Amino acid sequence: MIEPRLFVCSGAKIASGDPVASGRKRIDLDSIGSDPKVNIRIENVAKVFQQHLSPRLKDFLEIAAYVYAGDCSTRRGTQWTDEYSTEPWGRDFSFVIGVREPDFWSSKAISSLLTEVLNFLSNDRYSFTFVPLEHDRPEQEYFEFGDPKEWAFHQPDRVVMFSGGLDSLAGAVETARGGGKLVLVSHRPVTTLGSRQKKLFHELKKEFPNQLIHVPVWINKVEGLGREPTQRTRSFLFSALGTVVAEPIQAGGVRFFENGIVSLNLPVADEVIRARASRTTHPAALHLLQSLCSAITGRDFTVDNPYLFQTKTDIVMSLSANQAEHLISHTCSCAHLMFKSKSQLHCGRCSQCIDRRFAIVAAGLQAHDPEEDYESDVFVGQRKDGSEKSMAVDYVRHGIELSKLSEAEMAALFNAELSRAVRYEPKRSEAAERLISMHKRHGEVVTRVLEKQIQGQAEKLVKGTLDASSLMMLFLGMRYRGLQNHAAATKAEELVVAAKGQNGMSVVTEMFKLILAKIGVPEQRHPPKKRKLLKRDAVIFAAILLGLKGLKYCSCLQEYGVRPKWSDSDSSPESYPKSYRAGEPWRKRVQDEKTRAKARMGSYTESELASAFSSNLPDRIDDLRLRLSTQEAPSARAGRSKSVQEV
Amino acid sequence: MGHTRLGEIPKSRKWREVVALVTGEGLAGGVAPTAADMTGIAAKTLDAARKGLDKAVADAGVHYTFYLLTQLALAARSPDWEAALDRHGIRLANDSSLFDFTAEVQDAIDRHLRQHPSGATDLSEMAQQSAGEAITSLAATRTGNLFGGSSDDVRNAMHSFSTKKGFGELGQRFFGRFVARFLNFYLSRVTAAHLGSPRLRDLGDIPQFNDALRSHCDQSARIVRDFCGTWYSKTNYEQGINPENTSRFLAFALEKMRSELAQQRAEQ
Repeated sequence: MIEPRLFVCSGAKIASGDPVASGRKRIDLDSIGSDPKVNIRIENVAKVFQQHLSPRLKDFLEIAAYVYAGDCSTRRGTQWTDEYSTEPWGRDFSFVIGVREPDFWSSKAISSLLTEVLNFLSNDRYSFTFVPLEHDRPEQEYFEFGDPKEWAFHQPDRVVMFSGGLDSLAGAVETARGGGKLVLVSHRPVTTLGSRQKKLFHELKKEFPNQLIHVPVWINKVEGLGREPTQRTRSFLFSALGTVVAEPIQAGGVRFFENGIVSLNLPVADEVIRARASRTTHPAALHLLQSLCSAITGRDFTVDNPYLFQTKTDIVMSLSANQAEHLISHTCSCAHLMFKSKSQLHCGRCSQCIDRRFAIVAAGLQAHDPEEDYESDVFVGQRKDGSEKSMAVDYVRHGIELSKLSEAEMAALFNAELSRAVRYEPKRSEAAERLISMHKRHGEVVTRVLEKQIQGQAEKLVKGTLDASSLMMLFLGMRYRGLQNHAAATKAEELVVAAKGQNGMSVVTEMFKLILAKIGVPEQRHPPKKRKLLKRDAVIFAAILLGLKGLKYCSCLQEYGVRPKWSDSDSSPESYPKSYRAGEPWRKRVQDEKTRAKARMGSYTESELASAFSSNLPDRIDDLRLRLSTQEAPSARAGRSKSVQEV
Repeated sequence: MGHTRLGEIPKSRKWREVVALVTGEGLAGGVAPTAADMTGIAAKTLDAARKGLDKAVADAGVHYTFYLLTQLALAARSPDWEAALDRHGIRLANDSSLFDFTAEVQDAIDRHLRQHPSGATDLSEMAQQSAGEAITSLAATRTGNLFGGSSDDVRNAMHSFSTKKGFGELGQRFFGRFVARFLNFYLSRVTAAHLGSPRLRDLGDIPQFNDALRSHCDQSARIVRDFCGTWYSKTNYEQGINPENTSRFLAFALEKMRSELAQQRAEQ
């Protein structure tokens, strides 16, 4: 049992004997007075926009900071209860907070939203009591510098949460390439993280000199309050930060860029129940945060994640397609080293490092993510017993299993998780299909990368010279470790014994297949190789996506300089419009080509299509992006192509 | 920003014995667990986690989830299926697919738990996952189309669970998957952490272990199949199914599952 907590914040007072304190450990938090336990630099925001924050926004930021501090300072507990059968997880928090607008925060609608979103994110119980704030923080004087409406960054589509990782970088680059102005917001808990984000921003700004501003906001708690690493309320704090930046400049909302695999964070094992898999950017969490932020700002305020249907590999490839792969080396994905001042940016052992490295290798971009940046190599580095080892094992097993599950099996096994993920989608089935398709793609990447890595280490694996706790050795098991110490018990082990002294490549490949067979992965699992998208493909795909038919379709192709393949012949029409007007058999040839293109289009990911459109049809990119984001699942796209009847 | 929290199995004597069974401690190597081993592992785990399963008997989320299963089956027999579902906040359009239906069911459970003082628990989540898995895995073969079709297709599929035999089948799948998820909540910590042990030599052995555990629990849940169908049919006819009599049945069914798993071991 984790002792319930009472957090008394911003100098709020409670009467002795107040039932709110009954049975709770009291902790006082302050961010306003002379000796704060929670540091909030509101001036970070005010300094950029030369405006004071509204009382309600100050309240929001302080509430979020207190909740985050309470979350991060209260251990979830390690002592199992009920005779070692119940694992402590959820905690019980009560907050009494001094605020500037107590009536607003105490309203049923707001307090319900607050508790619902926080409970979903962290699985903890929350109750709030809001009282009038007695002593406000001092305001600094700022010089107004004209009408904010004339400012270049006024009313951007969204402010973008910028963590300094791969996904937020890809989102920033993609937005900037499309010509958008970007206001990037970062949470800065420690100076080391701040300096890394600053460096990445500096590099980014070199590429897009007049399109970006960066607002790092310093919020942290003092040492000694305790430390809980799960930090499930992070996105609540981030949304508050985004909102206080978005509001003065009247941005349309807050945008997170996070790949869909992490956003859903399906459980990698049966022990991972509820928010043990973080829900930081889960679609349901973002929807609830959107409702809360809209109520706070009093206007339609969007909180979204455009990368919901993309894998990390899709996103890394989009960085490459946007000629930004050189920025990868400045990003940090690691859960552990992000807050430490080490020269190596990645530990190589946590789930984030594993996920990053698999995506980078799958995209073939290792040159931009040097091995030296990892304290321990993800594939062959040593792993300690416990979560380091289990995380690698579960990540890989889960990935391979995803690749072999049918749609129906995935929808059954992860029914609760998928249902929550599409809860607010207008077409749930279509969205679920797209999510399943994305997870299968991710699983195929994990399988493919692993196979290549094993083949690359074949000789060392057969000789048994790799560390026994490394991912590669764990995957292939103890056959290589204790080969001399026990007799070969299976056909697979016989193979290895027979391979002593032989070329290891064929043996490890065979071993890999045997293990996949045990998991139930069919042997022919590699998808047919996709052709690189050329301008011709991009224009035809765009015309299809825009829903153009007949002469409009043909004129669009001509407008972008695409000529029919038969135009080289003297007796054939030289352009698509002429082919269409010439009637049969030319009209049918245009139709057949379009049908084939539509089928082929289904095999490309959204990010691949978006980057091809961005390069070849920049004038229509906004419309095309919108259509990409609202289209049906790739499988359905490809399936529909069979019934295309008209040009 | 994704993070997954993995935990460890407690270090008590009972759990150490479970670990030794799962890993094949002391064996020479290369020994896959047999069906008899799986019986021993399941029984031993259930014994170590006995108090945890006791809590399922009193868990409001587990109760409501199973109660809702009975109501879904009954709704399919109602002359007005939409209205019967609507009483539980489940709304379907004419073109709703089986997946849309299960998503509505999950929403209904989440909504109920948000309003309930005890809220969601690990056990209620396992029950919710198992209910979704049971409906989807059984009904998908009946509708033939998980993401398409119509509300009528869903109703026809659910109608097959509204008979004594049909509900028995649904109950067996639900209890089998619930117990498998409950056991693997503990055992998945052991399998991942002990990869490289005699019974878990390479990564392929873990999914095989999980499949064997699932099959064992599905088989063991046969004990509740007929019993479940009979209870559903008789109770509905005599007094109507309500949350109270569902709770009593659930406690009885879980105890039956537990004694079945223990009995199998004793018979070895």
